[in-house]
Amino acid sequence: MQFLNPSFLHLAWLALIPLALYLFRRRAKRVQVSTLLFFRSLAREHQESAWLRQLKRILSLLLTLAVILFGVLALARPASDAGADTPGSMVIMLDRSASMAAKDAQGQTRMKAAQEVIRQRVRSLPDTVIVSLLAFDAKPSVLLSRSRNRRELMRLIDGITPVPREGKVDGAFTVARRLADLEKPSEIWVVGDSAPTFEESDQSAEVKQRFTQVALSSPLNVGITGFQIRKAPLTRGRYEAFAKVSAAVANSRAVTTALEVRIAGRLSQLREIELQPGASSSIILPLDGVRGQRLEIELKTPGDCLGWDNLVLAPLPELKPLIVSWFSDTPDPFTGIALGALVESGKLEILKGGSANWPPKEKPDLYVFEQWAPKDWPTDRPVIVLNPLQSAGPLRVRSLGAKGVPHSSIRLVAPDHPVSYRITSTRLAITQTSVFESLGSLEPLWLAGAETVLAAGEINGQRIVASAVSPSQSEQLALQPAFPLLLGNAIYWCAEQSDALSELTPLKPGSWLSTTGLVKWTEWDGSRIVTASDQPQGSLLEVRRLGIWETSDGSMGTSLLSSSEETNIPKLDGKLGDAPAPVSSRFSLAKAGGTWPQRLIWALLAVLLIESFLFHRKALY
Amino acid sequence: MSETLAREDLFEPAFLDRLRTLALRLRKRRQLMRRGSQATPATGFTREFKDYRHYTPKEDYRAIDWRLYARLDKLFVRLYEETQELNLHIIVDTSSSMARPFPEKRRQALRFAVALAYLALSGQQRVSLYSMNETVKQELPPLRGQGNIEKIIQGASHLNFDGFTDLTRCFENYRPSRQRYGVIFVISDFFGRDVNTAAEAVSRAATWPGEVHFLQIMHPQERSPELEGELELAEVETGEKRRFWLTKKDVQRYIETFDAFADNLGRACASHRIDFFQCSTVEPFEERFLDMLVRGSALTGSA
Repeated sequence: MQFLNPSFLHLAWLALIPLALYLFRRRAKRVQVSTLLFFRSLAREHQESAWLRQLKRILSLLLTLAVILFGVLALARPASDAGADTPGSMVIMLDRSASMAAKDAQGQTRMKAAQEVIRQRVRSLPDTVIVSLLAFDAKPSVLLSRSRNRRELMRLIDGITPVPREGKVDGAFTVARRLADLEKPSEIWVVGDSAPTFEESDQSAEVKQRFTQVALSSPLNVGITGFQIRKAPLTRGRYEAFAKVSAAVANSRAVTTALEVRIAGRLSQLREIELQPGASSSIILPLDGVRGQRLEIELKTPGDCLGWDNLVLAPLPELKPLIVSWFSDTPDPFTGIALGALVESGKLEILKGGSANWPPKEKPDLYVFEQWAPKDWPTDRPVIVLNPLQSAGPLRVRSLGAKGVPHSSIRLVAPDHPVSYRITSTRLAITQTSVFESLGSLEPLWLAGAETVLAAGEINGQRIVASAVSPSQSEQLALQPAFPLLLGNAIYWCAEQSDALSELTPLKPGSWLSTTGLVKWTEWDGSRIVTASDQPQGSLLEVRRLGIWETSDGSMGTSLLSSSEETNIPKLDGKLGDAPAPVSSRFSLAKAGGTWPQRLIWALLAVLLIESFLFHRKALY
Repeated sequence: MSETLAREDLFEPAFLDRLRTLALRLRKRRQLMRRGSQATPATGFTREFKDYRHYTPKEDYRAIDWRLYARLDKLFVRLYEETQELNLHIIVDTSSSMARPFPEKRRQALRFAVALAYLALSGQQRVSLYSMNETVKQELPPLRGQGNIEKIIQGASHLNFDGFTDLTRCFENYRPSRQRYGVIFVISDFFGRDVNTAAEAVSRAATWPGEVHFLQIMHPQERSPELEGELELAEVETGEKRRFWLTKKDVQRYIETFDAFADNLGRACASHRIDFFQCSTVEPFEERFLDMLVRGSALTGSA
């Protein structure tokens, strides 16, 4: 047995007080009276004999000493199993990622379970152990650094709530390791639902690593792990939403979930999806609506344990026209026709110019160079290079002359690439006008014979689409829908990250929103939709909520969890770490009389009761 | 415990002078009070003419009133009140409680006893002094004449205050004879074995031949003790010790009990035509003595 608060044992000197009072007690005053006649009628007479009185005095002293002893021992908190492995310091790492909000059948979140586990352990720790508290999601946050203040620690533990973010233990573990190194021997104790990977090199005798899993024993979760709203290609005023629905690997069975799509509160679509454990399903949902209307995509799964990933809230955006600067000294008429068709859709604005107009006064969203490319290659905007006649920028090109090389067929190398979306290669004949000597990191999309005639990719973060085909000489291409489709796909793929489409890109909690005014939220808190507001510190606001945000200048966007790691709720595995004490065993402990301090307090109260009965029951005040 | 009181402690040199003055004041007050007052129906011991009755033969012819015979021509005999000697019995409680823990009680009791004796001796009456504790004991034989006051004082000074008061036994055993018919003064605190003992004893005293007076001497702290907290109380008469934890509330209850005792005793005395008089040790003796006598007593002739 050892004492968790040994400093309180010093209070044992209090026993000297009753001892001194006993030894130097005031004797009863002896008074002579003429008669005892009238005193005998008083009720408070002490008629016991001398030996009984002495016995009572000694008994009273012993009981008082027992009260003090029990009180001091209760304060010192004796513990029979504080453990020989009690570390000198402890770093508690508490996972507060989204998955910790998963609820069990009784409605208890994993965070509550983790807090209970930590509280139990901390109570059994001696006061001499220095404790640090670190909560982590995608990034760590040191809430308490090297402190013996248990009350503050408990307060901080109780104040931790799950946040709708992914959990990444690596960064947190680095911080914890540094804290643990400050006071050895130490222990890093990770409490969460998924097991971290402890490096063998980190294990040492002085810094122990321990994990307590607080996962659900039989979780069931289906969530939206991917979402994007994009404008439907070659359509006007129409959007489509891409959503990926995943089921957790730990699901015990195949789950049928209902997916509801609501626009402006009205049910738009309803689908039922059956998912095997660990399976995913991608869905593209055509949407009809106007800017500002609220899109809600909700999964309804019986027995689902995590609410944050069940609903996506997003505003329907209005796209600004995408400004495309088309530079060509000899523009191809088919290119002009194709771009004209895109302009008619109203979402594209073409600025046409030649080499003399380079560089442009206003920067567009995208450059299209046809049969010409500037020597000072622009790196700040995506570029589409059509039929280049000479090397430019990162492209090394060799011209094949004015006639070019005709090819009766082409082969689609990467049909899943967005640039090739909805394009079929059948009956396509092209005339190759140049050869790419070096593509760098560009990915070949079309091959004509052995030569790449269409490539796309990113070079130093800049998206580039390059085509070695002359539209006017490739009539079978230019006169078919494939060419404007190809050009439209290329433009939208390249401009995907441009400002014009930025409103369509959802934010994730933890990212920053640039705004100066109040940000209003239509928030999904895991169980219902509520309204909230955030005031940014300076010009930046850290996104901490899920739902639709709207800045004071009218910008709108969405924030969503969309994390396959968090949706994939882990299952309790006894092999991974310590399992928390089951509730039933805790109750049985309480029934048996509780912990040592509790037993001592009961004993103290019992002694007080006995003393009161023996010595004060006839007292009148 | 054998304790006697020095004569000087009991009686200051001027005490007897004051007693004489007191007797004169008493006579004066008595005369003043007689005016307008009615004769009491009490039996007296006067020598005044009582009545006439017809002479019968064999009677003493010297008692015939010849003047009346001359006027009425009939023989009448004058009848006089039979002259009887008045006896004063002073019974002083000599139990321990009269001397301890408040010796002022003894001093006050003896002063009353001596003053009464002086008054009786100066009126040519016989005075007997008794002590009373477990039993009644005659301390001085009946004395007569003013010159015996010194004996009375000596006897009172040497009274031994010890033992406990057994009122029942004392009042049962004591009974003055018909020849010693007179006035009986019992000077005591009347603390018996039980709170009802004194009231029971009153009924026995009521059977005594003569005029009975109860004079209760008490100390103020006997009525309202200045005690509080844990105490070991020792009774002086029996040595019995008891432990108490007294609060102000308890003291208040004590006072109520004491007052109830005194009231009970007073009522019992009144119901048996016994005069009951209380005197505290802190009250001025002379004033209280006069107060007691003017209430009426054969001793002062005002009865």
